[in-house]
Amino acid sequence: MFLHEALIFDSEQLPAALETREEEVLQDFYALFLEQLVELQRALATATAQRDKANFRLLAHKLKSSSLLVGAMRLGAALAALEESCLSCADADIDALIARVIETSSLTSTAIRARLQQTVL
Amino acid sequence: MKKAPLKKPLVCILDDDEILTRMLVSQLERRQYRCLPFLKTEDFLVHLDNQEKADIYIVDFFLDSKKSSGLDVCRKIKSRHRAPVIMLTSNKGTDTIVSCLNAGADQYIVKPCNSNELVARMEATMRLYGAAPEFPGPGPDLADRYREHFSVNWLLRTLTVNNGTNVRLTEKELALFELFVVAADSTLNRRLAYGAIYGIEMDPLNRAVDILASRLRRKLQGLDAGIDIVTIRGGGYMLVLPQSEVGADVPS
Repeated sequence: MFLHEALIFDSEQLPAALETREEEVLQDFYALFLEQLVELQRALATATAQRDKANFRLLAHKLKSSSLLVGAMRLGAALAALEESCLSCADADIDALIARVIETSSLTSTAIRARLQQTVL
Repeated sequence: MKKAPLKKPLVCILDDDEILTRMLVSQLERRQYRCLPFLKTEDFLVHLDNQEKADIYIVDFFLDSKKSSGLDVCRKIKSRHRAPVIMLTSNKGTDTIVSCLNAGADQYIVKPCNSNELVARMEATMRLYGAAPEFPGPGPDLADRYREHFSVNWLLRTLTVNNGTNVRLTEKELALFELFVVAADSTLNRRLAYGAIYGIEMDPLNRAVDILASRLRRKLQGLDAGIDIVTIRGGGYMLVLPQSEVGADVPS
């Protein structure tokens, strides 16, 4: 329920955290996050093929804080749920949670790219 | 007469999360701090050993490094410098927080952190180091005080004593040794040591620290330099150095 309630992308989050609305600075952060998102998607695909649960946790942990910082709230929540599930050994949930992370990361990526294009226009 | 400009405090940051690190740097530089960010633990340790001491260290608890955790790094800082350490953690669990504090951290902050809270905690901690007599901020660093007896190479994990002999320690033995250094001439409590090394609360029947202390003691005795570990009745150990009182210059 919580995952659905969180915003896919809150564009106010990053300027508030950085205490600046300087577009160049914001774009740098978004670009870096998008790069990390691509890496996450690639690494998740590998870990899924290998059923590497320890790696799922590591990947989830790695991007959780950054997601929340740049405003990818739903992805942050999905990663937190995946990390929690890996820690508590709730095997049954993991596949569904990974699917959720993959879907949400794709939506997040689209939303952030749209935000960047808006600025260009 | 012109006033000399105040020196900006130096903050050393170790976090493998590049976005968070860049954000911290941006927030702190805006508040007139100098920042030295590190994404890799190895680079940080080289800096810690050879370069300018920071006024405060900010270290992530969960580092993506096979060699060192945030707890390891915290202990290393504390065994080298009398400087405040703030641990960043994204886990609010009691075990995590207790192990941070047991490893010598002065504060912990749960990520993602509010910059005003972070700065307030940094300043409160630095004030404590500068003003409170029990934390001799401007006093000698621990490494200086121990230099006549031994030196430690963290990357190679070797302990060299003043007669030139050395011994290689395991990661956990080195961790225990670092805690002894920080404890100076006080008793190192078994339970606190366990939490600071393993990151979890110790089961009362667990003997891991005793076994570790015993192994470390054998290695120290093998160096034949008069450095030893003594057992203190009631729950701990103490590092003993030859002909010196390690804590003599610490205000009581």
